[in-house]
Amino acid sequence: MKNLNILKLLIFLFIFIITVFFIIFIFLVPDIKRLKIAKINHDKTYNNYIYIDNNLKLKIKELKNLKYKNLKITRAFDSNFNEPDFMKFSKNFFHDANLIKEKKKNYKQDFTEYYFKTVSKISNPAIFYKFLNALNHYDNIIQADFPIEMKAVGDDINTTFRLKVYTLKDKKIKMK
Amino acid sequence: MKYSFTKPKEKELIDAVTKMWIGFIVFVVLFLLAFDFLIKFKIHSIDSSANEFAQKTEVAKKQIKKLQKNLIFLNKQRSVAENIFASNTILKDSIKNLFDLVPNQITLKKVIMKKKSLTIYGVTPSKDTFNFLLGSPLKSIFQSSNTIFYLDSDGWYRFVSINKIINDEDKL
Repeated sequence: MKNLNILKLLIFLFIFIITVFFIIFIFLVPDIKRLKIAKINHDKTYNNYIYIDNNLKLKIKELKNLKYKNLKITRAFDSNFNEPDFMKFSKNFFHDANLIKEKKKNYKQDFTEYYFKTVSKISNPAIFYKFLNALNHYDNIIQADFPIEMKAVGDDINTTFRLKVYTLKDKKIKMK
Repeated sequence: MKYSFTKPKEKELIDAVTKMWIGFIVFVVLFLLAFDFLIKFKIHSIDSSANEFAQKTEVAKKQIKKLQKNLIFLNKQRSVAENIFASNTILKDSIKNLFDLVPNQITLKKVIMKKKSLTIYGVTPSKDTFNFLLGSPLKSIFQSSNTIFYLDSDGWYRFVSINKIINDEDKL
């Protein structure tokens, strides 16, 4: 009876050890390895996300700052050029001003450049300097350019010069 | 009719020790399988979280790309505008400098300014007055400077001064 019990004990012990080893080596060990790999992969992905997210936050901040600094310029490019408004503005400097549309060109891919010939009268050259100063603060981006012709006629100076109006590609201009 | 004086004992099919062993083994197996299930669940949860972060990363990358484009465009706008503002200021200074050059004795009638040339029409009391007071500074600015004088009925000289900037590229 005693011998039989020891044999039974050994058999069960053997079955127990085999079963436990089977479960450990077939299921647990590979799954623990997978868990470790998954954790490493997760940490890598998380760190990468944190890095990219920080970059994104920096870019958002950078863009916000740049938009704030460029507010006037962005609005100026974004506004449609309005001839009557410009004529009203030019009356502060010239009398008998006329704007003649010449041509339209693409400029640096994203912009359109409108050429105008401006014929006007000024009483002295200093007014033209004031006009050029004021041009940099106008609602649109406008460049005064060559050829410039100034001819003394009586007390006035007949002034002819080129103006280039820059707008975004899809923007239009409003003429009289 | 009885053949034995002892009563037969009830014998169990599986004895108590065997039952205990089987119970113990089943318990350990179930415990290990439950532990493995937990590990599998944890792996699944970690993988899901990693996937979520990977997706968020992709979205953030796309956003960065978009923002970068906006940044480039804003910088381009700024650069174009600043060049135009600078050009207007330079133009103003150039015209101002030209008129500041003209002495009181000389009267300008007409000025034509082009990108690389300046033509001045005017009246001067004498050729020397023009040459000393206006001709010399013009010659120092422009590579080519030629002036033609016409004697007027009042004894003054009408002049046409043609001044040009000649780049080295143009000479070739």
